Amino acid sequence: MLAAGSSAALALEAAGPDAREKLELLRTALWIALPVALLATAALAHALLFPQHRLGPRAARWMVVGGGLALPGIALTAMLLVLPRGPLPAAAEAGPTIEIVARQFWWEIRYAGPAPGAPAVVTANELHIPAGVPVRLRLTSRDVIHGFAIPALGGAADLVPGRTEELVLRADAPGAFRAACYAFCGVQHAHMALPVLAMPRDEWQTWLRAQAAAAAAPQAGPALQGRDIFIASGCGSCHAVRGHGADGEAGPDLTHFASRETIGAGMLPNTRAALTGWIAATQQIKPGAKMPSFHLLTGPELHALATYLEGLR
Amino acid sequence: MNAATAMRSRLAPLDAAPPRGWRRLAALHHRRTGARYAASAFGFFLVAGVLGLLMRAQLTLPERALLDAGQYVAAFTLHGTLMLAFFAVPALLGAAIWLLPPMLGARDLPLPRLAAFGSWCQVLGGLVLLAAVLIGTDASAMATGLAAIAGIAGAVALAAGILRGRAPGLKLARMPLLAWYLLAPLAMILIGFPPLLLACVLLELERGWGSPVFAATGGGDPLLWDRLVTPFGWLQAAIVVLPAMGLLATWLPAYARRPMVMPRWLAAAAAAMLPLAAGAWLHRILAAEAPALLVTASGFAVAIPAAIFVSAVVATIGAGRPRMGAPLLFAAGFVVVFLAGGISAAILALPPLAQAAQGTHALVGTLHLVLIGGAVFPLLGALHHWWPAVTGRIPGERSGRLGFWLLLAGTLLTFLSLHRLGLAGMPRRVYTYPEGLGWAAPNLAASAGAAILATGMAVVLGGLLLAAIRGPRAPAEPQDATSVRGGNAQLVQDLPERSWMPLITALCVTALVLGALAGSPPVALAGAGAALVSALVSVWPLARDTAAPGVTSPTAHGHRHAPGWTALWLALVADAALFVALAAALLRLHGTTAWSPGAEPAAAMAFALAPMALAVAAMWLAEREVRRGRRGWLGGWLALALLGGAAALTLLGLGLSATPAAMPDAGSTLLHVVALHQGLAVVVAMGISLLVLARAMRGDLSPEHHVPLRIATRAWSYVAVLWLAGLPLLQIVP
Repeated sequence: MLAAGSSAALALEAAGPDAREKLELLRTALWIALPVALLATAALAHALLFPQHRLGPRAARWMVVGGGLALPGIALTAMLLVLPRGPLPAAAEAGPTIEIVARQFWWEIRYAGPAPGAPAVVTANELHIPAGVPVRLRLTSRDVIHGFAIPALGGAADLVPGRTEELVLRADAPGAFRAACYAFCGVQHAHMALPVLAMPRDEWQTWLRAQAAAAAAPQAGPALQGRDIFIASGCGSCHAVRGHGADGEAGPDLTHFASRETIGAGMLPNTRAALTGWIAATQQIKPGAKMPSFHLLTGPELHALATYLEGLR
Repeated sequence: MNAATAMRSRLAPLDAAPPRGWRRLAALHHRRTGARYAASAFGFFLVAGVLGLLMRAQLTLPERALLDAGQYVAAFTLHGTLMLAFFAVPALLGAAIWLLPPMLGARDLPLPRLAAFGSWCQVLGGLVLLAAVLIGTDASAMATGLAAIAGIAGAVALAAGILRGRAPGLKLARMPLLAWYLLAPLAMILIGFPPLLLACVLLELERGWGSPVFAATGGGDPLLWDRLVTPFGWLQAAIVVLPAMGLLATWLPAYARRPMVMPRWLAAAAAAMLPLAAGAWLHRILAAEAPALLVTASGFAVAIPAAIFVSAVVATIGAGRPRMGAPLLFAAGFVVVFLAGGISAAILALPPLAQAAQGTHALVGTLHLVLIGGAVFPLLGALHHWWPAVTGRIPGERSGRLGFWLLLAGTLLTFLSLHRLGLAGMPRRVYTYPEGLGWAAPNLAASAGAAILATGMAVVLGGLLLAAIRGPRAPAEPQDATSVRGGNAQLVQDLPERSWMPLITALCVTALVLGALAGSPPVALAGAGAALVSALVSVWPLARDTAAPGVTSPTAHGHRHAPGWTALWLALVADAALFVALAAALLRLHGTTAWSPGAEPAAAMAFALAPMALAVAAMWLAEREVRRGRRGWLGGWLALALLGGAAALTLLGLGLSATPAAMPDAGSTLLHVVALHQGLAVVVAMGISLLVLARAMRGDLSPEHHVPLRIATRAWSYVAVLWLAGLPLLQIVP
């Protein structure tokens, strides 16, 4: 459902009230601008194609006054007048608050725990929201200035280290969208997408409870071997796997890695082939990412590691 | 030789025999300087254009691997830096320097060495930028700094020319429209480029010298860069488009075969652009604090003068007897493309849509429509119109027409496709994109458009170059030219015809830049010192200034309207703009982040105020001596001022010497930049005093003629104000 690139995320296909309002404003503004463009083009075409119809001095003066003062004055004032006023009407039903931290070049997502008092649920690179209710996003950056936008839902913000921005967004119905970084943040700015999944509210609750649980214990031999490789290679110093003794914070949390559809911040589908390739050649696939290539791992070791990670459901 | 012959030889057309060979490098005539600005600009334009094509080639299809991530980033950084800093502004400055003096009835610009110095900074800055790319480093910050210096120098020289180099009776109100369409952008350069220069220096301090300013990790403010540089794009568009409109208003009458309609309105529109564009710029800087509607409305206000100009172009063609040809087509292209860009800019300035378009390809589309429509089309028309005057040969009509249609189609296809991509949510500055998002088709269309655009550009420029070699020879006055020729300026000035010093000074400044890039303080300091010395040498009085025999016009030397006097005030405005930006950065940082700088410069500057006051008092006493026609104490007072300056510098140096090369945090970095700026201001004032001392020893100063001394006194007073204003700024530290 969410394989890399399958989610067409057009702002032109507004999927929420905020995006719809922007699209509506764009249409209105274009209708206001259309007569200006037509009149100007017609006047120019007339001047060039019918040089024998010369404007008199008075007509020329009216053209400058009309085209220079009246027409743009009216059009620009009209555009200011059709601007929406005030924030969206507050929805009766309040949705969850989700924290998003932009990093070079991935997204850390924190949900409030499913039960009151429960610790926050930390995931990465996939945003799950309940559909039909307004969701409050609290966004910040850990390193440089990033930008955040979900064009199909309308929200957008600049993320400055040390500051927190808030966006309230609503998806009308369940669906898959694409968020991404919209401010140049470094060499891999192009690969900083964030798949967004709007799901029915109860499904979302179930999903969140599953995410809050500790990682599943590895069962079979290859998975156990993979966990040992994970620990021996030092993966845990950057990645966290809750319940398996890995608590690194520099990279994405992998506790429920196998439940995600993509790897590398929306870059590749989460398949065995892509995963082993990613671990062995990170710097070839995403040069400039903070993760080194683990090219010293042998083929069997990579597959064992992948088996372990695929078990983190 | 009798007086009349002597005078005729002194007032003979300058540059009748342009220097050849190596001596071209030392030429100072405004046509040489203007050509140097413009020709180098078009050279950099070609490089930047190829880079743009490479980027479009990379994005033609999803997941293409023509350029890797690093190469793509380098390409778009270089494309933007070259196009704006090294093509658009210098090409227009160059055209204006080339054209303007005869239109104002002057034989040359009044400050030829300054203009030549600026042209060399432009050439050397672009070469440094490209050389750095070839050896694999990024010099864009420092090179842009050089371009900013080139822009400021050219702007001061041109503005002094417009304000002080006009023929007698040519009142401001009766100036050609080109001069009006230059004054506003020149003023914008004077207030907008110095903050840009500051930002470039700060960026280099952070990147190359490890002194944080913008990095959050060093207590810096990442938004500071956004505040100093990003809003500049607004001013930049006006700086580029206005002179291009001025060129268009100059050549269009030859093809519409009637003067521009409503010239007074057009002049007023140009003048109104200064407060409106500067206001929009300031509003963008304060965007976070100002109400969004006000920011939008102040941006919209800029559209009115622009719309007046566009309407006047259409009305002039409509009311004239247009002669169809390539230049008239380029005027029509200006109207169509600039209008499309203007409408797009207005719509995307509406706050909700501005938020949505932020960081997408839609912005790229808007920017290119405005700049290509507003500047490139008028420039190409200007090249066709003045090509006979520049090369002596008539350009072909066919290549111009064919090239125009290709350019128009390519520009609209490329940049409207980018609008479509922006609406589809494609971010800008990405080196690749995945399939299946609906981005492939518009990208393909944009790349095809870019290929058409490039073909059109090749046809137009190739046709011009071919015409320069093989085209039919032009008669003496091939066009229905509207320019003013000859005439006497208000002031008689003895202008140098050639000098190597501007080139040498620019080379010294480049050495400073290279030293900064290489992280080598000795080289940087040596370059700075050598630049100051060579600047001093280039204006050192070698002979007593005398008027030509028999000339009754007032001589510029010593006259109260001397160009040097005007240039002083223009330079002080530019420096004040830099200081205001620096102070605002300091206050902003003080308000928002952890602040732990040491207090050394503050204490040193407080102590140094006493010798500063002494120096300023000595200068004013020296001026009083000269005004009263006395010479006795003149040398003494000047020497005392120099001593006071030296003492102030020593105290400041003692305060700074205790500090490490790399600052620990952003607060200290900015404090030391303030102290360095103050020190540099004292050094410059001392240099001027040294010049005045030399003139005093030659006996050049008299109660009627003592402008150099007046310049020095005002410069010292300005420096004192700067120190007084800087002191409380440094005291707010704890």
